[in-house]
Amino acid sequence: MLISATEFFDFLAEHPAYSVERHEISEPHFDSLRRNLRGIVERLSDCDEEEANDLSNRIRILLSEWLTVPVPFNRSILDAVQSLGSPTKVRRKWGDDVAVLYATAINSAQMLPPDNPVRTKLRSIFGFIGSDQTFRIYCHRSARAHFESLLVNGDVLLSNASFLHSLREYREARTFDVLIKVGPLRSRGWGSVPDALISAPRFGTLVQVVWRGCHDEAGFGYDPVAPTSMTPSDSAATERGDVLANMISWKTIPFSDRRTNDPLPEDEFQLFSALNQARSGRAAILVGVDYGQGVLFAPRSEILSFDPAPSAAEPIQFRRPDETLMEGMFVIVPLGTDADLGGPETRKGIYSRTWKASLAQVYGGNPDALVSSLRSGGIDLLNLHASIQRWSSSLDDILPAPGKPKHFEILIQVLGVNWDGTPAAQEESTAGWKLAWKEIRHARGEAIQIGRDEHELINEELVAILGTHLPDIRTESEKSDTYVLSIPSGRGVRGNLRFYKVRSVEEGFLAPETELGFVQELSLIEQWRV
Amino acid sequence: MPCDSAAAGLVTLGAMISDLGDPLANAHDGHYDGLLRYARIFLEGKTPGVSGRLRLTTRPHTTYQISSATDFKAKKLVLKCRDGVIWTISQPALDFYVDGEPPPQWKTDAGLLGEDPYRRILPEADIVSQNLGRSYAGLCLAGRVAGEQASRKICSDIRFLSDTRVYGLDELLSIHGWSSSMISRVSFFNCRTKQLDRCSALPSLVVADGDQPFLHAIHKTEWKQTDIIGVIHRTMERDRLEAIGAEVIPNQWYTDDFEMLCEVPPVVRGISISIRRRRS
Repeated sequence: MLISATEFFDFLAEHPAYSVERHEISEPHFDSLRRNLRGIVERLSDCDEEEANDLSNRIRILLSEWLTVPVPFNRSILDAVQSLGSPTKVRRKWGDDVAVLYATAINSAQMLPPDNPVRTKLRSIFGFIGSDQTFRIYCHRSARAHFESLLVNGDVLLSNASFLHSLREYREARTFDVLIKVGPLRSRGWGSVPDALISAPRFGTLVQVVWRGCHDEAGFGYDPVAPTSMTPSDSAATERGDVLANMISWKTIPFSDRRTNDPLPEDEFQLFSALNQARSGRAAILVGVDYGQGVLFAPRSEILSFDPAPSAAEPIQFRRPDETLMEGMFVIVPLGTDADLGGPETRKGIYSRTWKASLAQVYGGNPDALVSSLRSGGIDLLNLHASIQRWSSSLDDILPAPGKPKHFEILIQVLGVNWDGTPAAQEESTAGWKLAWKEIRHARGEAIQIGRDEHELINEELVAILGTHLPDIRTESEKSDTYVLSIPSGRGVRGNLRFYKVRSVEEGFLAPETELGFVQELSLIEQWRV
Repeated sequence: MPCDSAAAGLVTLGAMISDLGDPLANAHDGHYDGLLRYARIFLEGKTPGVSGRLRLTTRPHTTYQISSATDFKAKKLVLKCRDGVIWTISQPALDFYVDGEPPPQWKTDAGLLGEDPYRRILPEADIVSQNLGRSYAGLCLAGRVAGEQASRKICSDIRFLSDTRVYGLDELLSIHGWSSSMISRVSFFNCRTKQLDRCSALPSLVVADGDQPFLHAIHKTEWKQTDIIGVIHRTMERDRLEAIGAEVIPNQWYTDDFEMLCEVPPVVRGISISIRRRRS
């Protein structure tokens, strides 16, 4: 049940001040690991090569996660660092200075203590929270398991109600006592949280656990009417003469585990933010769906969607991801060439049939062996099994395919695709994957164009047809989070539509135009988070 | 605002009650011009959904079709009845109104606004009784981007208890179609369809419910001379907050209005207010 505005105003009236308990954590080996990996990112930032960007992105994702999630200090940290490549390869490719940084980073990862001090601190915080106090944890969905693993044998039980993962969940939350957050307060990027935590608090105390050197974003808690009035470090909201400020005051109480003479580590998030400013691309919103996948959409794009709520006046309609498309609804995606939605039929592939048939055959023979080979080759997608199943699901549909050319090249090499019967058979041996990749890029560009132009002509008809299938859609939506609906022939529109339940809607991405509108791995999409 | 709420509806209600005390706050002056404007739109045939039908307050169940014989230069509106009779009507034509819109005035008790709930909410209100039978389009609620139903729903959750009955805020706002009254003293701008609910003169005050309606209102060319109140909650993404911040910051056209800000009564914790006025 949502909190009423009256209840919320009563809560604010009862709390003249709010507090941030800021616990700053430091660990020398982890500091060294951070410093050296950050150094690699800095050195690669001037390099225009795609491989350098790729490596830089992977390090940024690793650091961002470690600094905002209570990950265990186990073998996975060292594995993650070593997965960046062999020291010899790194030296040959990027030179001695990067190689030294890399070797030191590996050494630091090997020296990490058995328990992450952030996890130790969190356990102690959970121990201090009184049984009469209500608390919630704000974290990314993918971080939840790490919090749950903290308290396996503890008295504190975590449930769905213990977590907040999105602005929408925060907006709908009732008031509570303590909010727990790992990492700095930032409005964008990995571990970002809503400004409303500070400008419209639904809790009395924010317990923040941060690695030393990670600063809160300047101006976090932004109120557009009183933009300079509040940061959590201020003792009180200052009042500007030209506005009536919201009178929400914060007091920060710093805690530091130990004194250290080491220089303060530089803030990775500031570095990443500065690097992001040099990036180009289109602002995008991530709609997360099942199986670790998501779709990036332009902010004001109209997305065909289904709202399963019985109270929805128009269950099937076009919604905007930043306004009316909500978690729990379904996005509806035409399934490649199966859907005759008025566009040209140029998405039928010449090469896709060949490589997809090969993929289906090899994967069907020994799925784990193929996944292992692809990982050894350098494809580091989190849910590779699901990706392979998706890529090979429809031979005619070009679009489900790896997102990066490097991954596609590795895939084709591992499969050893025979291009007989295609124009590539007449070319040199390496030309096959390049022609197939060109086909994918072409199809993606065209699909975007189709999505923007021709589909507008049939939107009304499609919505009307889906309206007649509403009972079936409701039944399927209750049973499954992802399913395919076939539109029978004889209608103006025919084909198959895939329904994906919306798990999350996140702003803060900057992606190339060609990457919008496709279901992709979240791990791949992360590179475009700003 | 610190959270989502029906505050925009409440602000609109306050403005509406204030307008009830203004003897000039009615749609009479611009009514005939509005009918002619509607006739022109219909006869041009370029706007879908315009039926060209008018109704008469004394015979509300009968419709009259606008005829192509209408003479805009002479300001003569020509109507065709079902029985073939042709009517030429002239100003002020207060008994005619566009089918699907509120009439400018209503004389039968059943369709009038009741004074009691408004007087109970603001006992000091000086309500002009004639206004309870006159529509007004000078006050407009720009509804939520999620649509009219969402706007109505949030208002219907606010209820006022009188001695004899309960009034929903949606009903009290008298938006056409939201209450049983024939009279509507608040027009509704649908931010999804970008349509105003009547073919009338421009509003003098718009209350925008949310960030998108507010941005739309301040950029709407026709509303350049209109006062706009944006009621916006802060629990939204940074990009959207910054879009609002960029608009409310003083600039070469707008400056702070300290005088009016000083007149605002003390606000409760959680609400921040800023007022801008056009530079003279």
